[in-house]
Amino acid sequence: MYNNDSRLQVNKGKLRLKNPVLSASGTFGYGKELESVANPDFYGAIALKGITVNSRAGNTPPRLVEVAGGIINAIGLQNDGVKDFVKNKVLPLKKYDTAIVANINGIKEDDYCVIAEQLEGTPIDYIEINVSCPNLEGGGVEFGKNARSIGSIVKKVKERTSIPLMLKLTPQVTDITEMVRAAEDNGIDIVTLINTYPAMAIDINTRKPVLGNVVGGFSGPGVKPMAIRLIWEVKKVTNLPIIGMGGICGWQDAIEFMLAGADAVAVGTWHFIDPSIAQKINQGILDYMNIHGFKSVSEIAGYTWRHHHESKKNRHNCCT
Amino acid sequence: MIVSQSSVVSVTSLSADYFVIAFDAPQIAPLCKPGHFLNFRIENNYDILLRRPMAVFDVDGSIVKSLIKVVGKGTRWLSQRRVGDQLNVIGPLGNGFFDAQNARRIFIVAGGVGLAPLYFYLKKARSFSVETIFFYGARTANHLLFIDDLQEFSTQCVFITEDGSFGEKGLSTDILESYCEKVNLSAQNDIVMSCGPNPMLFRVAQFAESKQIPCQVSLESYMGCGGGVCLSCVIPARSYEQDGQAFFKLCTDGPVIDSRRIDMKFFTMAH
Repeated sequence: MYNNDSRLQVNKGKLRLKNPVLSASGTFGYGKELESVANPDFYGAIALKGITVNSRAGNTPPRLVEVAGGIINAIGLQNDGVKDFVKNKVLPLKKYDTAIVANINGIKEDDYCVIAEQLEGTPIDYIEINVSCPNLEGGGVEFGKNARSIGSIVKKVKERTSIPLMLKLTPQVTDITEMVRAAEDNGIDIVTLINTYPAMAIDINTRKPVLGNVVGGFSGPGVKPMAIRLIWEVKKVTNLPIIGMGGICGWQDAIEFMLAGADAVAVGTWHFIDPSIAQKINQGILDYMNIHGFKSVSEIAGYTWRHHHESKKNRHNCCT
Repeated sequence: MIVSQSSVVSVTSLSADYFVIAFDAPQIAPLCKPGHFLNFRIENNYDILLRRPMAVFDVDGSIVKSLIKVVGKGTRWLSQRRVGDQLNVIGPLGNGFFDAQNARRIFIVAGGVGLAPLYFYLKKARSFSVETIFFYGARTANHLLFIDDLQEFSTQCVFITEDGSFGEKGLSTDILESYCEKVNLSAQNDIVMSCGPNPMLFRVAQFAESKQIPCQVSLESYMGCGGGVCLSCVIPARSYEQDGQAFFKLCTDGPVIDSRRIDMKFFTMAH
């Protein structure tokens, strides 16, 4: 099966995946919902729907609107809380041949610690600290815009769990590299970017905001070039594994993210359009490797970044 | 839930921007029940991204049909398909109308394009011995479709137009209520099924509740995945205690829901 082809394996730092394709949190439920059309086994890892300490009803509908180039969502982290997650959602995932990522969210810094502690001893392979959810009042993205908060949360969670940690970053910051540095200084293992862009739509007939929550997060192909640029920026300051996402609709997009510096990629919005996209991306990556002479995905990861900076260095040497 | 790459068999234009698209889907067809829906991929560009959920209108052997009204770019794209074009369809999705075979009489109330799932139900209901009173309302005579079929399939069919150009003049809910004043309703024997615009469903649900008759409504809402993953299409539940959840996922808990379980505020929310 090409999803298990050894050339697709990702082995960088704490990131160890059988292939470089993940599901982005919130777009793949808890793994089993789309099982008949999107087998979790096809993924290097599946990031599950975001969880919070206590259950949350989520936002008032409408929660989703389609706009040019993407969708705006304001789900509001509807979930049954971490206790239910551990009791009912995690164990059934053991049957799948894929890594499991728990996406954790907090309104207070301590919330992240409470959840992380409860995930110890479960089959969770990675914890994704979500400091970039635009739909969580008080917490979420507010932490993600502040390097000090990021450092503090990463440090506290790290002290309470042995599970490798990912940090999901928001694009809504002046300098994303500051956030990455703060996370790395405090022991983060992997960075994932980007989460959605804050956005809004108005119905011109009712003259009211479309979403019940008024604002939401924009995702889909429209955000891809901006996400690529942020991967490029992050690559400048860290050698941590990077999981890139933002508008991936096919294998070509996945390759572009990897060339920019991503070691693996995640599909979000496009699951709704093509739930069987993971195997197509893995197949596309293998075909690309055959045509372009790459022996492993690690050779693709950061290729453009490396070559761009080497040629720049050479040009510089030449002029002096 | 099956992903099917299907050939378009026919696209039939009807009056008032309605059309029926038929496609060959031998894997999906035998699974379709009235109230189920299909999720059509719109493959033009990134201007129309999400799949478009549409009720199953009819099944004929391996052919599945949807009755659709052109209201925007997605439905227009579907209306422009030609025979032999490939369609990527996921289906059947959702829960259909619940079993009503024990009912003695079914009042079916369809408004506009809400006809689609109820036509299929009515057609199937012929196989069990139940009286079907079909109320079908639309703006004008031009907006009423499949009149002959409905008359043939139902025990009694009442057509209603807002302008009086065909059948009774007024709103289908008014006609339903005045009709029901003349008959003895019973919670054990009668059931209401409805699909149409939310203001209509609101009144149908209120009426059924006032008469203590079970009522199933087929709803719609902005949908993301269609498979219970994204939690976009939710509608508020009336009782958290009863349902154990604040919201129903319309795609997997619905689209047909017992009206007594819905928070009635839903019908007046913006969509």
